[in-house]
Amino acid sequence: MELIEKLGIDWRLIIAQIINFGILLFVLYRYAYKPILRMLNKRTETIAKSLTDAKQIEENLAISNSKKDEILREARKQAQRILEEVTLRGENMRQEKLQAANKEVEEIVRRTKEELAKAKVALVKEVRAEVADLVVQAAEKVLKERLDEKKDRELIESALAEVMKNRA
Amino acid sequence: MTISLAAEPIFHLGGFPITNTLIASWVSVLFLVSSTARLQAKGLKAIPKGIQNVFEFVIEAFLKLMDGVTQDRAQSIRFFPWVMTIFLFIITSNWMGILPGFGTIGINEVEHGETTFLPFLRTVNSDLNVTVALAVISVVMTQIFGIMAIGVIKYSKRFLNFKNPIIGILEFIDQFAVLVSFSFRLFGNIFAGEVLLVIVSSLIPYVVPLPFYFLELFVGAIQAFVFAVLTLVFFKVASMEPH
Repeated sequence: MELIEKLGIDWRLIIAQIINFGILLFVLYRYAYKPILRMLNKRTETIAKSLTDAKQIEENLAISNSKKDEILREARKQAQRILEEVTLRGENMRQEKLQAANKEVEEIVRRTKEELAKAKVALVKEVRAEVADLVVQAAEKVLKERLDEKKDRELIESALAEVMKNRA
Repeated sequence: MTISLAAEPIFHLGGFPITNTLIASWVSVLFLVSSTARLQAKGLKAIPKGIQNVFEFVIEAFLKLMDGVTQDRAQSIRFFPWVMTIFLFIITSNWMGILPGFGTIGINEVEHGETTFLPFLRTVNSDLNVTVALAVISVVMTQIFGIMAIGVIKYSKRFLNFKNPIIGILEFIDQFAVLVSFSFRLFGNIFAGEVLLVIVSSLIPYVVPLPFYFLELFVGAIQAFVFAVLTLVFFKVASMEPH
């Protein structure tokens, strides 16, 4: 008991200190630990989320990049194919046109030749008829004016000249 | 020069002694509460600044340390308010006791024809009442956390061991030993430090006491840490199933 007195132990003071501590604990818990722990947790979550988001974004970027490349490659290939096709078709078309034109020219030439031949036949026929007429007329004239040798000769000559002239 | 083991009452309030250590402990609590108030007044920000940084650093570091002991974040969070508050209260009190004005401002009191110096403020933990109070809180909370973690029946088996009653009795005595060792370790260290500072300062008041002040800063932090970590270890042991 003397020791306790010397050490100043007093249960009322112990109780007072416990209450003191209780108040401190309450205030610190309510206004410091709890909000700060919540804040720290939230921050950890936010950082974790940002990191996963960043990773996701990076992945997406890689995917879209490869997709873009693929699309570009595809487009280039397609363009190449279209170009080839167009070139081929153009060549074909030119060939066809050329053939058609050649055919037409040939046709025209053929027809012209035919027509020329026909015209020639007709002309010959006409000329022949005319010549016959002229001969008949000349013969008539000659027969009518067959009086003397001299006249006869003149007539024949003139008739011939006429014929020749006509013929020329 | 007399150094009293017991804290000196400054005045009595209806028979209740208001000792200088009690006043000092109020100052200590007031300091921590006002720091919290400042933190609250500024408001918690997602991007910390100033005092919030200090709080966050201390809390995070301590929580990490506790995780090392408990190996369980949920348990760390459960024990955290008690362990952290013990640490903060003890270290604040210890470091505050080194400030000028502690143990130096007071009155001379004449008692039985002898003049005794009565300081208004005295290092909080140099009063056994304070350390006993802290030890009681630690030991009582140890029992409560033990019961909360494994239930009343399982926990009581620790003390009522019918297969081996001696062990049970030893466990029971152990709790009192913890109480005594807790309170006397802290009291002894801080009181000894106080005495050391008083003696050195009275012998050579300039420059020479300075290393001892640094030593007291160190001892004050170490004792706060030891008290808090031992409390944590006892909480953890009580929460584990007995073998």
